[in-house]
Formats: sequence, structure tokens, C-alpha cells
Amino acid sequence: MLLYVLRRLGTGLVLAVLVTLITFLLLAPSFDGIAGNRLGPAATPEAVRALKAELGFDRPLPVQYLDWLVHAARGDLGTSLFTGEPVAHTILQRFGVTMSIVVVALLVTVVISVALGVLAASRGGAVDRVAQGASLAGNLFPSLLLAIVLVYVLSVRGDLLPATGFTPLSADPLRWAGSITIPVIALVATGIAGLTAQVRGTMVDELRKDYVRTLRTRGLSARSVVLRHALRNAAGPALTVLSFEFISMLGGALVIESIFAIAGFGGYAFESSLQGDVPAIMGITLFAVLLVVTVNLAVDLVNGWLNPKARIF
Amino acid sequence: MTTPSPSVRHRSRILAAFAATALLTTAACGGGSDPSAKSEGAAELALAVQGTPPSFEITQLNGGQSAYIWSSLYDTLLYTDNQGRIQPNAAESYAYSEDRRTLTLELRKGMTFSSGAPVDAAAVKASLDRLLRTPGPNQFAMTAVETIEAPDADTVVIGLERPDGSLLSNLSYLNGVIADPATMTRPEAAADPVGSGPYTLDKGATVTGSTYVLKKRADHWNAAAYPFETVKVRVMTDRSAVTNALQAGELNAGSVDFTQLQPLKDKGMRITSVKATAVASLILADRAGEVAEPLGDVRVRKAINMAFDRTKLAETFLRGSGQPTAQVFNPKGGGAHDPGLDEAHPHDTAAAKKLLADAGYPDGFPVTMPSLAVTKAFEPTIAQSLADIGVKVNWTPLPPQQQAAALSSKKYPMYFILDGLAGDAVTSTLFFSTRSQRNPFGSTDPELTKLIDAANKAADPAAAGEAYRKVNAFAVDNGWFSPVFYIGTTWVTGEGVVYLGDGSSTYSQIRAFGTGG
Amino acid sequence: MTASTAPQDAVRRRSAARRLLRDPQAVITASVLLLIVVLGLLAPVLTSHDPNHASLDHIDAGAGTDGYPLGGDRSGRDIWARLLHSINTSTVSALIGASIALVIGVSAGLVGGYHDRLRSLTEWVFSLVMTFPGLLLLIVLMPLTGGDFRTTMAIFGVLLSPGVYRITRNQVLGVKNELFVDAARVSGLSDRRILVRHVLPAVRGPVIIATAFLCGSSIGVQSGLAFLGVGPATTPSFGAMISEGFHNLYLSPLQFVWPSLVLGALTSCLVLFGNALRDALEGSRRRPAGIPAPKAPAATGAAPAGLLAVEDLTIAYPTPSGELKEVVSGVSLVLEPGETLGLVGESGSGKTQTAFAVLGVLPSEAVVVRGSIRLDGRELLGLKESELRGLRGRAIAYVPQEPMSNLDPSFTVGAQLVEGVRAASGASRGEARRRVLALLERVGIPDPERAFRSRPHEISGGMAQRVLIAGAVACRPALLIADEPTTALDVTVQAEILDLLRDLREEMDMAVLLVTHDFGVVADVCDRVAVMRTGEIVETGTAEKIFGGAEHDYTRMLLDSILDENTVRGDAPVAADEPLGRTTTW
Repeated sequence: MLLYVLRRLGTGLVLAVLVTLITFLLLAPSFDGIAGNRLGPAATPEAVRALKAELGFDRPLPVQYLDWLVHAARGDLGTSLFTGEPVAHTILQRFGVTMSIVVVALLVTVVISVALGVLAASRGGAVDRVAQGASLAGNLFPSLLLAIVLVYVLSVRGDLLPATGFTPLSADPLRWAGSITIPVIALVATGIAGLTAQVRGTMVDELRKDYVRTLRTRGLSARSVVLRHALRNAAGPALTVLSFEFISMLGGALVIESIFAIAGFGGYAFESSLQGDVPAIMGITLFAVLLVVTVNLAVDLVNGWLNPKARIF
Repeated sequence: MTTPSPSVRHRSRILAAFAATALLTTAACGGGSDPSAKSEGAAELALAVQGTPPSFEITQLNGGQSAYIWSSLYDTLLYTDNQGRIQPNAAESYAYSEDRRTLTLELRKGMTFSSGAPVDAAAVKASLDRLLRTPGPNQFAMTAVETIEAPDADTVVIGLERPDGSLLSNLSYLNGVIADPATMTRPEAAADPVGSGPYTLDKGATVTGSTYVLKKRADHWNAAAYPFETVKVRVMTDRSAVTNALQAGELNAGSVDFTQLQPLKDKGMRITSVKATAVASLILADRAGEVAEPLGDVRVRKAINMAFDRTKLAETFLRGSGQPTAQVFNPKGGGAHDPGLDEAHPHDTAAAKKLLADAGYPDGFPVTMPSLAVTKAFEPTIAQSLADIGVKVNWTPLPPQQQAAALSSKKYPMYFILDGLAGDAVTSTLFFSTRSQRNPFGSTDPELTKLIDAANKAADPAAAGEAYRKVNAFAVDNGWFSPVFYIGTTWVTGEGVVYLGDGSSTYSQIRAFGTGG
Repeated sequence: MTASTAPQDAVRRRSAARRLLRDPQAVITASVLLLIVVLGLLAPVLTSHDPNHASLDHIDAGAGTDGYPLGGDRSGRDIWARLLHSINTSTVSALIGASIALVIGVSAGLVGGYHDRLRSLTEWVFSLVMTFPGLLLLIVLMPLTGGDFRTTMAIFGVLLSPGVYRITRNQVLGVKNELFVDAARVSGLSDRRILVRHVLPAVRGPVIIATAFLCGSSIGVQSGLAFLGVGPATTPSFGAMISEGFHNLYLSPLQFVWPSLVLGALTSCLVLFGNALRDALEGSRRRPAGIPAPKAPAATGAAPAGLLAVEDLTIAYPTPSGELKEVVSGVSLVLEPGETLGLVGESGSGKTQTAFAVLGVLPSEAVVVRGSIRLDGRELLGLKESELRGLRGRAIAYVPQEPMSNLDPSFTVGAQLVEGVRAASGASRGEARRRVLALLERVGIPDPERAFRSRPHEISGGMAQRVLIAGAVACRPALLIADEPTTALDVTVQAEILDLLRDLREEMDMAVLLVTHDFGVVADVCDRVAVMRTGEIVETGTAEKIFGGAEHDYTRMLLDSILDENTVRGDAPVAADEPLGRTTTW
């Protein structure tokens, strides 16, 4: 088990190297443009050359990449080409902001999706259709519009919640809760549909399995059969979908971040890649790879625990 | 501010109350609100800017909205006031030599950096030297500078290779910034600048990329010119976020898209429109027809100019928030702008087609233009006008990271771009310098060179204005560009805050905001 | 068994299509999707305007302005035309993104899940793909893709494939070790045939939902990128329209509403249709649970004698065409306390349905048309689930046919037995545990403590059946219903299990309703026999009488086949104690 985890993490590191290397090679053709970008419209070729030299962009690519890798291994991801901020610091700070929104959104999504999915699967009929419909409310009523309406009602007219901005949890839990409420609602609205469909589908499958009938014949309550047994067995595939949703929410929080003027991870990734902020892109890529590796490992471990038969270790 | 008039005091108290409620309702990061900020007479300016400010290291500053931050942290040698006039600032006085190749600046005495170190000629020289030698977005503006000397503690002498009409203007903004030489080369300068400006960055309350909190320096030599005790600058990339935050009272100043004004008007907020802050123009760059043969013919360039119904575009597309123009110079830039030039190529599709036919293109011609993030919203309309005369635009998306390189190469014979307006001299450099991105094919013309030289040598603003008007006329007559319209900026301010600018100064300086109402 | 799956599959698929057509959810969502796609295809006919034609006279024009049914956008382009062309962009995005993800993900998932040796390779490749930060990559790649949405969607399809791969791989891993694959493997099928015939159908359900989801995400990401301004302005896209509409929200909110509405309808219908399609393929019930009360209890007055009295029981299922098809017709049975009744018949004769009806665990789409089931004189039909629950485990218990699939794979053997004991008897946790351990020992499990801690996949089929028997008799039920308790087991184990059942019956003085197709089993343990054919009881009598001189031809035919069947069974190429069999459907 420990060996398995270590092996997976080792694999993750190799992946990180590969992915960052590919990213680096994809960025390399844009180095001239990036230097030019930093210099503005009146940049002369000499200035571009000088800046490239200053940034080390003129060295052979393998040297540049290895240099980056060695520094990254020591935790030094360099400084942003544009803001001059240490990349590692910015990533952690921005990630913390987005995580504190996404984690809450994810929890709410899970609770609602599991409730709707289980209800739809175990009740069937009209309840099923209503529950499926409810999970799609977010699709039909776009989260953007939802966000704007909520901002108008709760912030502009109601003065109850802030319209923009973010307060860190550590600074003031109450204001933190206030600042993430509308963003979370907007994120949840878009995330529910997929997860509900998955929970419903696997629950329908589980509930038709033989062991469910047998458990019922032993006098177990429907509640226990559905929630303790069937749901646990259905949790595996749902968890996989959830992990995708988590990863996509991190990036997808971008739009919400920008509408609420929250400096989050999605915005950082988007802005950096648009500007061609090489150290930031490399750092974000590395961070994202390690994050995905960790999340996948966690999902596989939990899946193995939930369903020992599907254990791949 | 030390002895405020009763009315100011009254308003300040309202603002203080506003600031207090804003602190309760706003969700600004950091949370470390200093109780003294709410004290008697204090006022907060809560302002939104559109993009993440670049590094505060002096060679990396830019002139966009983020300049509200750095221009509050650093003093500049000179100052462009809200009427567009160049005024003494850190330099108490300045004088050109007869040949306009030597500029002598006398520094104000008793200025200090926020670190406590004195601001002296050595510090100014160190800053100018750094700006001159370090690759950065503002280095190009120093190309005429040959020497920088500090003969004594209060005097700085700048020697020029040739007269440079834009120097004074530059010294009042990006190229006149003074930083503490002891710290300016350190990596920390990016986020922790040491300047002598009227404000210091409150590191505790500032979250890079999100919220910048500026605290006023009581000991600044010109403290009275800055009415706000605290300036909070929030980064809001989405325009509707600005509208929402203004409505919710989380901001008391911000520029708002003209389509989103209604709710703010309804709320009774103060709206100040500046009709021309940027110019949208087609750069008809390949004037020799190297890549796109048709553009080598002045008739074609004139035809393109005639394709646009500028008046109607400004009325309908911009809903009157901007104004039509056929010239790239700033209407308030000093004197180059000539309303008469707007009539040089009146809208006439038929005549334009005929010109194209005369030039040998009766069916028009295709052209590939780069699609940029900032120009996207304009593209359908621009392409339509061109299509109407037979010029078929094929847009290729140009990723931002390649924009600079692609636009300065000879890849695109013509392209559509937005440029912030500037003073005449700066505009002239941007559009006509053979090394500028706006002149990627390096077009020159003996007549134009003569006109620009004359403008650079002009002894006074009036003469300079006259000279640049000729430069402008040359560009319009030869169809070097096809400007379409000026784009305006609409400022919305909350109670007690006013926007004082009228477009005369194109610089983003915090002194454009005042108390009043 | 393998020979019979092909026609069955075909039937299942055909009826799935019919089920789909009868499901209003499927029909409505499919029609909406079709309508939207057709509208897109007809765009050139339905609008005279080029989607990129910008008319200064129609900037923000209201709906209904001459020739602009939905008005003009902020550049004066026809919103209706852009809407229609955006549909095409979305359709193409969905097709490209989903098909690339599916082809790559499913094929690699099947291979990687099935072949242990290839798995490390596929895991590697997909980990690599999966770890690429998608948005970042798509933007970084813009210089290469030129922002063209088709190329972008192709790359996105590759980025989506790890999701499909993981779902497929997990499903394959889950089913691979299940009985039918083992069985198929020993019967000498090629891997490819096993994958296509057995593994693929098991994977189908989750993948189908995933497909709807993939189409949805492709459309979503294409719109999302367009919303963010990535890609050319000349490509009409809901994202770009929403972005522009959002910008103009205060001026003309409808510009925002139109694209949001169509995009929302498109993605919602995809999800709902995916659910419906999945239900149809997997044959999910669409009716509310709960057993409907019979129309009229047939009992006319005198309560029939016996522990269990089934009278005129008739069970039907709705057919795809909507009529009810009877699978049990007018069955009557009486079972005295302590007696063992063999309910004999071929598969499909309705015997298992009868047993399920007595237990109250009929599938929810089943309809009890008429009849009565009394236990100790109490009518069971029409009882509430909570009332039935009080009887289950204590009064009636059940031993299923297939030991493995009747244990919850996620719980240890002990945990699920303890839970049953506690539910039926209300015993404390410790007490229930003691009882379960004693029972496990009683049913002949050599190391009860170890079995208690084991998970179902860690014990053999024979042992699992003992566990299930222990679970059934834990609370000393008056009536034990055993549904083919030995069919799935190896011959040597069969006899042991029968012995165990017989011993337990005597020890606990239970009545046993033994459902079987095997007269050998009947001869071993039954006092009386009821023979069922196509839903009806054709003959009832004591075991002696039936074996002595069966009256009905069908019974005689069944009796004649005992010998043959035993021969076949004995030759079954099954490793000792390895479970083999299939779950009978009614």
C-alpha cells in the first residue's frame, strides 16, 4: 500500500517533468513575442535582444529547461515576468483563494447531487423526473445570470452580501462566508447536473443488483439498503466524476472569479498564459500536474477502499 | 486638508461614514483596516482598474490604469496637470538650452523617500540611468538621451543627442519616476517599492493582483494636493464587476462601459464622460506595397479611408460615447489635431470603389489582418465597412503572447489597433518612428522627417503644436493610417468624489480625482 | 449459456429501442435536440443574413426589426442568424470532442482494464494526458491551432479521454472478475470476444451517460473559450454571443437570454436524453416502487389453513407496447409449518416470481393483478414496506441462488450479517456479533472469525452460500424461501449445502419453500412438490406421489430429464468450489 502510494507519487514526478517539458517546448517559439510584449509597442529589436539575454531566453533550450527544473526542485519557481512576484508565492496564495471557494462549492454540489441522484434512482417515476429536472436548473438558468441576479438582489438592493471581492477565511470567517456565498451558488448551479446524472445512473444499477434484494429480505430498512449499501457501491464512479469536476472547477472558477473580482487561481492561469508569462505558466503547469496526480491517487485509494474488488494495487 | 473648509469637512465626514460602511460591506482582502483611516477628515478613494498592475520596479511600469498606483507611490520630475499643461513637480524648475539639447532640472529641497533617505540629484540620476539602460517598455522614450549628470545635489542635467519634443511629457510620467537607489535594483522592488510619492503601499492590506491599499504620507511636500487619506485600488477585469461594485458602494470611482451606465445613472452617481481617450485606427503599414501590393498605391489607402462612415459609426456603434476621427492625433494633445483633416476622405463607397478600380483593383482585394483580444469587438464592423468597398478581410487570431512580435514584423501589411491618446510629441514618436510597432515597415519620407525634426526643435508649445499639425496633415493626406473613431471613457464616481480630467491629460494620475460634489 | 446471449442481446437491444420510444423523457429531449440540430442545418434556408454581416442600422435592434426576427447585436449582426450558426458550431464541437474522447478512452479503457500487463502502459499515457492543465494548454497551443474551434475541440477530445478511460477501466476491473467472465474464459472464448460480448455491455451504461456528458462538456468548453474571447470573432458561437449579450445586459437583456436559452436547452437535453437512453439500455424501471394492492383478495371467508397460503396469485409485467403480460397466473399453494415444499419448473416458469411475491421483493414494475398471500393468516399483499420489514428475517427469510452477487461487495461478511441480525431482532452489536459467529460455525465454516472479517470476493462460492444461509436463518424464521440454493454450486458442494439446509430445517423447525428446477434436489429434501409451467401450477402432490406416478405430462418430462441433467452437470468444466452460473431473470 505504502509502496503503491510511493510508486504513484514517483510516477507523478516523472509526469510533472514530462508535462512541464512539453509545455516549455510549446512556449519556446513565443519567447521573442513574450519579450516584445514586456517591452511594449515601441520595442526595438535591440531591446528585445537585450531583454531576452537578461531573461536567459537566449540560452539553449535544454539548458533553460534544466535550469528551471533544478530551481523548481528546490521550490524556487522564479518570478513573474510581468509582476515580478515570486511565482510559487502567487500560486499558493491564489490557489488558497480558489480552493476555499471550490471546496465549499464541491461539498454543496456533492450533497445536492447525491440527494437528487439517490432520490431519482430509488423513487423513480415522477420523483425521478423532477429530481433530474432540478439538477439541470443550473443549465437552463445560466450561472452567469444567476450570479448577476443574486448580486442585484443580495448586494445592490439588499446590502447583505458583498458584490465583489474575497475575504480570507483566516481573516474573518463570517465575512469569508459572505464573500463566497454567491460565487459558490453560481459554481454549484453548473456542477450539479453532471454529478447527479452519474449518481443516479450508478444508483439505478446498484439498486437492481441481487445483494440489494437479499439485504431487504433480512429486514434491513430501505434507508439502510439505499444509503449504506447501494450508495457506497455507487460511490466509486461518482467519485471519479467528482474528481473531474473538482479539477475543472479550479479552472472554470475563472469566469466567476472575474465577475466577482476575486484574484484566484483560474484568473492567474488564464492571465499568465495569455501574457506568455513563462515562469508563471511553468509553475502553474507543475502545480496543476502535482495536484491532479494527488487527486487521482486519492480517488483511486478511496475507490479501492470502497470497492476492494476494483483495487488496482 | 489641514484646514478644511466647512463644506469639505462636511463632505469628508460623509465620506468617512461611507468608508466605514464600505469596510463593513466590502469584502476586501487583508481585512487589516486601520482604525485611524476612519478618523476625522479622512476620506477613502476606492477605485477600480482593469488589469493586474505590472511590477512596481521603475523600468517595468506602464501607462495604463495601473498608473494610478505607481504614480501615487513615486514622484515624477515634472507633472502634467488635468488641463494637459506640464508643471514643475519634484523638479522645482526646468530649462532648455538654446539648441534644445540640454535640459537642466532644479530639484525641490527637503523631499524624502518613504525609507527616510533624501531625494537628491544622485537619486534622480540613478533612476534616469536605470530607465535609460534597462530593457523595459519605456526605454524607447529615452533614445534621444545621451548623458545624465548631477553637478550638485539639487541639479540634474540631461544631454540630448537631438532635440526631443516628447521629453518633457515623458519626464512628467513614466520616464520621470524617481526611486530610492538603495533599493530600486533589488528583486523586492517589484512588490515593495520605495519612492517619494504622496502615498505608500500598505503591504499588510495589499493583495497583489487584487487589492492595493495606499496610505497617504503626511510628510509629503505636496500633501495638500492629495485629498484622500487612503486610496484603495481594486483590480477588476470584468466590466460588470465594476458596475456591481459601484452600485453596491464597494467602489466610489471606476470607469464603466457605456452600455452599463443606466443602473448607475438611476442610482444618481456622478458621471463624467471624456469623449476621446483612445484612437481606433487601421495602420496601413505596407506603404511601399512590399507584402500587399495594393497598399503601395495611395489611391487604395485613400479608398480605405473612404470606406468608413465615421459619423454613423460613432453614433450607432459607440452610441455617442466616442467621436469620429480621420487622424490619430489627440484632439487635446497640444495643437496637432485639425478638425478640417477629418473631411479629407469623406465616406463614399462608390468613390472608394472607383479609386480601387483606378488603382487596378476593380474587384477589391483580400487582406489578412490579426485578430487581437482588444479589437475583437470592433472586428465585425470594421470588416463590414471594408467589405463594402471590396476589401475582404481574413482575420487570423493572434495570441497575446505573440502580438508584439507579430505586429512589429512585416507579417501584417495592415492591422486594426487601439491606442491610448497621448501628447502630440509622444503620438508622433509612436506612429512615425521607424522602429515603432505602428510603423513595422519602417516607412520614411524626406518631407515627413523634415516636419518631425522641426517639431522636435520647436521652442514653445504653440510652435510645437503648429509643427505637429503639419506632420498630422502629411499622414492624413498620404493615407498612412485609416483612423475610424476616438473611444471615450466614462467615469462614474460616488458621493463626494469627482473626476477632474477632461481628456487634456492622457495620464492616469491619482490627482485626477478630487473631493467635491 | 454463451450461445444464448447473442439472440438475447439482440432482443434486449430491440426492446431497448422500443422502451426508449415509449419514454416521454427520451422522446421529448431527443425531439428538442433534433429540432435544435435541424434548425442549425437549415440555417442557410431559415435566414437570409450572413451571421457576420454587420449592419450599422441594426445595432442593438429590437426583436422583429425588418428581417431581424430576434433583432441585431452590438455590431448590428442578425441574432437569429448567429444563433442558428452557433448551433452548428456546437454540434460540430460536440461531435469532434465526444467522438475523439470516446474512441480513445473506451478502447484504451477496455484494453487497460482487461489486460493487466497493458494496464501500466495505458495508465501512464492517460495520466500524462490527464495531468495537462486543459485551459492553459489550449491557450498555449493557440499559436498552433490558430484558435480554430475544430482543432481546439480535437485537442479537447484528447484531454477528455482520460475520463472515459478511467470510467471504462474501473467498470472493466469491476466486472472482469465476476462470474460470467471467468466462465466465458474457461469455456475458451477469445479475449476479443469476451471484451465485446461480455465486458462491453457492462461498461455501456456509465459510458453512455459519459457520452452525453462529453457532448455537453465539449459544447460547454467551446462556448467557454469563446466567452473568454479565445478564437476568431467570425466563428458564431453561443459563448461569444453570451459574452456580448452579458456586456449589453443593461441595454438589451434579450441578447443574453437567447443564446443562454438555446445553449441551456442543448446541454440539459443532452443530460436528460443520456439518462433516458441509459435507462432504456439497462432496462431501468420507470414506475414508482411499492407493490400495488391486489384488486380483491380471493379469500372468500374461511381462512385457509397452513403457515403460508398463496391463492390465485397473478403477477404481470408491462410490455413495451403498454399491455400487461402475465408471468404468474392464478397460482395457489399451501405450506404447513415445518413442511418443505418443492416449487419445480424450468426457468421462466414463474417460480422465482412467486417466491419474490411472498417475500414482497418483486421488481417495482411488476403488477400483482390479483390473489392473496397469507402468512399465518395475515394478508401480506398490500402491506406497507415498514410492515413487511417487520416480518422479513424473522418470519420469512430468503436464500438466493447466486451466492456471490447476493453479498454486498463493499462490506465484510460479518458486517452485513450483523446488520441483518440487528435489523430483524434488534439485538445489540455485541450480541449480534456473537450470534453471527456461532451461526457461521454452525453452517460449517471452518474459521468463522476469519470469514467474519473477509470480504465477499475473498471467499469461495460454497462458503458464500453458507454465509447466505447463515444470514437467512439467523433469526430462526418460520418460513425459509430458498431459490435454487445449489444451482450455482459445484456438485460436491451442492450435496453439502442440501444437507445443511435439511439439518437446519429440522433444528429450527422451519417450513421451507424450495424453488428449483432440479428433481434430484426435490427428491432429497421435499415433502411435497408443486410443478409450475409458464406461470401456472400444473400438478401438486407429495414427493412420493409425484415420483411414484406423476399425472401431468410436463412433470413426467421433467422427471425424465433428471438423469441427463446430472450427467451434464457433472461434466461442467468448473474448478472445485469455483462458482458458476447465471442469475436467472424470472
